[in-house]
Amino acid sequence: MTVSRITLKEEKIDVDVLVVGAGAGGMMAAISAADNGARVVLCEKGCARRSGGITGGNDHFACYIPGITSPAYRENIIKQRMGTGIADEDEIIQYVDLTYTVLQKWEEWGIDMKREGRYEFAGHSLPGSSGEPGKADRALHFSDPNMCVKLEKQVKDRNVRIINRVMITEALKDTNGHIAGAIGISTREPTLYVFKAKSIVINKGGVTGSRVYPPPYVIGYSMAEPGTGDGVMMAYRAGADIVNAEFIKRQISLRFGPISGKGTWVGVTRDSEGNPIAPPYLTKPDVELGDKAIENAEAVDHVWETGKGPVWMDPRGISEEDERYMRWGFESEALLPLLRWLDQEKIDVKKTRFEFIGMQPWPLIQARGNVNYETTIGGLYALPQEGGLPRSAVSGMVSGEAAAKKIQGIKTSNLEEHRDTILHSKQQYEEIMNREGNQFADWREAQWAIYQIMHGYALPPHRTENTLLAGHNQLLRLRKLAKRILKASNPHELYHCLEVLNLIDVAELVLLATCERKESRGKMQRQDYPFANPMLNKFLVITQKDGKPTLRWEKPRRVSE
Amino acid sequence: MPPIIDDKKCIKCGKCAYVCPVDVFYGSEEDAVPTVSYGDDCYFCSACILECSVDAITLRYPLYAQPSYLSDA
Repeated sequence: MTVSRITLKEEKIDVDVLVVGAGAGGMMAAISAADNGARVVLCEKGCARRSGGITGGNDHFACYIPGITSPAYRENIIKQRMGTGIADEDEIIQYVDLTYTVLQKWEEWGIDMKREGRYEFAGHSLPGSSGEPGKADRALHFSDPNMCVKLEKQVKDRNVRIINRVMITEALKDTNGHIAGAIGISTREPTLYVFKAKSIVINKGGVTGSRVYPPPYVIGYSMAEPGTGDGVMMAYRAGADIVNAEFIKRQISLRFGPISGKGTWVGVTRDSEGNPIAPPYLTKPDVELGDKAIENAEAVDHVWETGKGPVWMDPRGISEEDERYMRWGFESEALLPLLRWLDQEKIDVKKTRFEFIGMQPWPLIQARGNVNYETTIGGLYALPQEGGLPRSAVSGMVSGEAAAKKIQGIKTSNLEEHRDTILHSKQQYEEIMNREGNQFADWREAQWAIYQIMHGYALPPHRTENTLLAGHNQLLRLRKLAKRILKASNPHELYHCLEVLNLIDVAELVLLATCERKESRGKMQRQDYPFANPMLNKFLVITQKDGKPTLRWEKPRRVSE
Repeated sequence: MPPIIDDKKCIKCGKCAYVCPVDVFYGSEEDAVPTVSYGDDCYFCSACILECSVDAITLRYPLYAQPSYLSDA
C-alpha cells in the first residue's frame, strides 16, 4: 500500500515587527509596537487569548508607585533583581521605574488591579518592610482572572494580526547580520510559515523548569508545559549572545498537586515538629505577610536533610474572613481546580495542613540585551527571564517601542536569499512527519531522556565537572539519535518533536555553562567548587559560531561607573 | 486525562478547544462536543474552565497529582 508523503505547504507573511509569543510581555510588545506606527503580527504557539504566565490571571505585581510605596521598597526590588551581582543595572533600574506606567495602562484597559476599590499590598513579605504611608511596601496583590483577555482586546483594537497555533522555529538573518524574518510551523495543519520581518521581539521564549528537570521524585505534572526555550534557542542559533544558562531559580509548591507555586497561602510553613522553617519565622498566620518562607526551597531541603520533614503549609487558626481573602487570591493564578478539589474532598483549610516541597531547578537561560532588550543581533529583541509579571510587562512595552522605531530606514529583505535555509528546515520537518513505525521514537522518549540526564548528572548541589561532562557526553549522543529517529504522526506531534530538540540545545548550554563557571553562587551550587569566586562577578556569555557553542566572560553593565 | 466535559451541559461553542495552550482538544470538530485528544498534556492552567460559560468542564487531578495533607477534622 502506498501512503502519500506529507509535505508542508508554505504561507508567506510580510510584516514590520514580528512578536514571537503572547502572554503579558508579548502582548505589551505588540501594543507598544503598534502604538509606534509599525505593522505588527503577534505569533503564539498556543492561543493569545489565554497565554503565558497570565493564562488564568496573576496574583502579584511588584511595582514602585511614587507617593504610595517608599523609595526604600524601590531600592529593595532593585537589590533583589541584582541578585549576586551578575545583572545589568541600567536595565533593572529602568524596568522598576516603569512598573507604574504599566499599572496605569492596565487600569485604563479595565484590568482589575484593586480589591474593593483600594490597592492591596500583601503577601510574600517580611515584617517591618512596610514604609510610610500605609503598609505599601509589598507587592501589589490583585486578582483578575481575565487580564489576559483584556490585553488581547488591546492588541486586536490596534489591528495587530494575531496568528495562533504557530510555533516559530528559526530566525533568518541578512548577510549584514540584521534580522530578515523567521520561519515557523502550524501546530494543527501541515503548513510552514515564512515571515519577512524588519524586527522581531521574542517573549519570553525561555524554559519552564518542568521541561528540563523532572518534578521531585514523581512525574506529577504534564510533560507538555509550553516553555521549551523556543525563543532563546532561536536567538542562540541566530548567533545572539546568551547568558545565565548556569543560573536557576527554585520555588516551593504544594507536593504532588499540579500547582506552579503561585498563590498566596495565609499560613505558617512548619516542619514536622511544628517549628517555622525560615525567616520571618512566623508563629501564626498573617494575612498581610503571607509567609515568605514559602519561597525558601533551601530551607525545605534543610528540614528534610536534618530529619524533620515533611514540611507543612499550616493555615490552621485563620478566620473565615482570612480564608475568603485567600480564596480571592487563589481565583486568579490558575488555582480554580485546587479550590474545586478542596470543596469536592470537603477539606476545611482552617483545619488542614498541606505538604510543600522544593521544586526542581528552573534554568534562567536568556539572550543578553541592552536597555531596549535588543540582543547582539540587530533587530532581534528578547525579554529577560527573571522578575515575574512586572519585568515581562515592562520589557515587552520597551522592546515593542524600540522594535517599531528600529524599522525606520530598514529595507525589506529578499527572502530568496534564504531559500536554502528555509528548504533545509522544511525538509527536516517533513522527514519527522513522514517517519512511521516502532523503529522511530515518540517525542516523550526524548523528554524522558532529557530528564534523566539533567536529574542524574546536573541536579544542584550534587554535581561536579565529571558528572556534568558525563551528562554532556550522553546528551550529544541523545541529540544524534533523536534527530535520526524522532517521529510525528501529525502537526501536533511535530511541534512537540521540535520542542524537545530545542530542549536538548538548552540542556547542552546549561551543562556547558555550569561546568565552565567554577564556583558556587546563589542557587548555582556544585560540589567541586563550593564557594563564590569574586573574580567571576561576570556574565558567562555563550555564542554559537560555526554551529558550536563558544564561551567568554563579560562584565555586567553598572550605572555608577 | 484531566479535562472532563459534561456533554449534557456543553453548548458546543468550541471556546475550550480554541484557547487550550497545549491543544489538549486537538482535532475537535466544530459544533460538536470537543474531543480530549491529548488529555495527558493538561497542566491545569484553567483556561478552558475560565472560558466555559456553562461550567461544563472539570479538571480531574490524576492519581499521581493528589495533594498530600493532614486533617485535624
